[in-house]
Amino acid sequence: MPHGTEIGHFALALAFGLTITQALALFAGARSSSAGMIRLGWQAAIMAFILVVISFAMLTLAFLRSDFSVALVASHSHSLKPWLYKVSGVWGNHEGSLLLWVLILTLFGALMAGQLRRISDGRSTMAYALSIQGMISLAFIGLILFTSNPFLRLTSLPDDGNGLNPILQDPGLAFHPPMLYLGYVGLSVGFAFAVAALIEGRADARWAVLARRWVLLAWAALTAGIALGSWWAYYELGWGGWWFWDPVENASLMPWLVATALIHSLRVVEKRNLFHSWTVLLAILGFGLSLIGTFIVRSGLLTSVHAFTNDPTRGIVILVIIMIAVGIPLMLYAMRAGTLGRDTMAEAPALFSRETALQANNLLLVVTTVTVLTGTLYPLVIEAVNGARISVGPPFFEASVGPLLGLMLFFLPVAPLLAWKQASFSKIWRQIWPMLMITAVLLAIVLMLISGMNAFAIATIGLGIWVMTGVAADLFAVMGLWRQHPTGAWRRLRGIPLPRLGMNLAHLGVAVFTIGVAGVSFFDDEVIKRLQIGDHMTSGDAQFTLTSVAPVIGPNYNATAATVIKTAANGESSEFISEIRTFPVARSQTTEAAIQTGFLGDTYVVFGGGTPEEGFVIHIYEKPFITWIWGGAGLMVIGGIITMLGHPTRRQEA
Amino acid sequence: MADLSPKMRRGIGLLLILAALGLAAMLVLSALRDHVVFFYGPTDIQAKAKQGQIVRLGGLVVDDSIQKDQDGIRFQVTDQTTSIEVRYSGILPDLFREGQGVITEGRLDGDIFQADTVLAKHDETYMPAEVADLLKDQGVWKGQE
Repeated sequence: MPHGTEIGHFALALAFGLTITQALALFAGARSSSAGMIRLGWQAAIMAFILVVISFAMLTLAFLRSDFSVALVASHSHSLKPWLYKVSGVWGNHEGSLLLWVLILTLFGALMAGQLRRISDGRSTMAYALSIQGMISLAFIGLILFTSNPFLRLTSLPDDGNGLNPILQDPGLAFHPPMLYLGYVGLSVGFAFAVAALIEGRADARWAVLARRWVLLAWAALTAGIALGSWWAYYELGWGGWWFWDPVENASLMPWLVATALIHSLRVVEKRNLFHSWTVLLAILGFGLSLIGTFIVRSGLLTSVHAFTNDPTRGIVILVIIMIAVGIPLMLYAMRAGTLGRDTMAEAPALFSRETALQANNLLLVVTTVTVLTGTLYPLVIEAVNGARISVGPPFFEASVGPLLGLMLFFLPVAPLLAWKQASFSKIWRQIWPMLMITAVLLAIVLMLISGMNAFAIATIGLGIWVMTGVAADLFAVMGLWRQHPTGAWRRLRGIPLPRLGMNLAHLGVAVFTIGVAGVSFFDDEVIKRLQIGDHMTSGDAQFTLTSVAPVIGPNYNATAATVIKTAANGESSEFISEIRTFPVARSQTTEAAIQTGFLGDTYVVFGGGTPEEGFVIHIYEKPFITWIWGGAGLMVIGGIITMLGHPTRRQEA
Repeated sequence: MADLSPKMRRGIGLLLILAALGLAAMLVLSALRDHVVFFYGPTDIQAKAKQGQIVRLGGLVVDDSIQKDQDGIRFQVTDQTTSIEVRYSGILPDLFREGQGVITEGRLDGDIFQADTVLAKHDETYMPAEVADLLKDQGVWKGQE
């Protein structure tokens, strides 16, 4: 298809028109309860999605065929690249990543359209939400068409492309942005529902039921996206770290924290018809933070490895979009927040109740978000105030976020045990003291096995175990073991409602993650040495021998590979090959760490270069329990998805 | 607790929220006071940084200044006005080169900067924003505005 690029451009322009139809028809349809207008609206949403798919496919095709007459392909791809990276090159740049963003935005629009077509209850809410979704799509398609067109042609054809930044040439990074975007953009659905609630002046249980599945999906995708990014940083950057508190990481963490608060507060709206206005505010802020996350960082305002664009017009257009997208709903919010719960007569809960516990959860999550935001923006503020250049690094975040997370972990296992409305302290205590005992015993065993732990390490591990006992206690409650006869316990466990199973898996994930963090933060070890071939060094109780340093030719790079043999205390040996790769096209280098992954931890070997005369630098890290970090995140993702799948699609009268 | 009036309950809730916010503000402020890292160029660092305080030093790596010995690596960092010697014992990043921008974090030890970390970005043409600003301040910036 020689004119594929033009077809792609044209399809995107058509989609632009359709999102206008989607936004207007649905708004009018919801207002006048006109079934015809609503039908027109959701059909437009589905068509817009199909057109964006065509547009995206055409751009991908241009990358796959290495069509260097397209400016974007010429500057971001290369004919020698493996096909996977030709595809991931589509979103490895500003224009293409915006198109991916729009693709996911319209995908959510089409999915919402599918639901709108089927439901009879809450049609007007859904129609308003899809109308808002259409407005967001409209804004971003407009942004692409008018400021960041990926389909521009070059007048003179270059011989070959500039290549993709080699550090991005990695499977982890091929999948990390789409997953992260699925999360960021997914939060737009929660936002659209929040604005719909403000328009209708009502955020009741029915509304919460409609919105919560979407937020769960977005939350699960965001969790997976952040975890993939962290995993990539760990094995690709060669620094052995998994989280650097880089502005970009913080930008993804903030919407995650707010989305976490949101899935909990939506539950309160759904079950108890409380927290209406707070929940709507969270939904607006969650998407606002994802917009800020994706775009402020790209504007080049904050120094970061991720900055794509430094074009001021784009930055300003994006800023205007953010101001409209957050400002107008906040204004509506100020006018309508008081009326959101007007139809409900729910009585206020007692202080000692699950509502209070979830309120504490929300409060802590939001305070943590504000803390992360402060640390991220503080350098900008200080530079603006007195010109001093500062950086706020990991020590700040560890000292401020750490205690807040600790407090959350302390309350986490108790909350699910509390009853709604009013919990009975004596009932809870019967479950809490065994949990405390088990935690104490397990912690004592850990203390005996590992000596010389500091107070922070003990506290972190203790909290991890504590959260695990909470999961066990809740499963015990499902089995009825606290008050019923044990027969039938297994049957009751198998009949566990999916949302409750999902919640426990996610909470177990939090516990596993916490233990992983404790392992890496307090028990890691690193040694660096300059070795000649045949020399060895020790790390822990294992011996590492450098056996060779040799050149390797890759598909689009040349590398020097160092082979290191590890001999463990029990005589078992294993091989590590770490490479330094030089990419001639992009004129840059990357380091490939050699990592041996185990259940109890990783051994991470990095070749630091060198010459036969002065020796070769070998860096060995021991990273205990690091895989638990991603394992925990994986459990959270699975838990979120299970909860979403088992979530009722309409309100069941309890 | 069930016989608290709604007003009382709201009051207690507000108090809890204020307490949480107060705690958070305290944590943030004390953490900012202790953990903010200042960035200096070679000219400023002797005047403004205290001995032993963790700071960042940025500038250009002086040509032919890299020396390797048993203790690690030594090199000079300059803003084209003043140079300072940096000592480092870890692995240099992939794109650490003479004549290019670099940011290091560590502490001042007499006239020498003892670096714990050397940061460099993974792009040969990349100049850290802080270093670019620094060179602009010194009037020796040759890149684009």
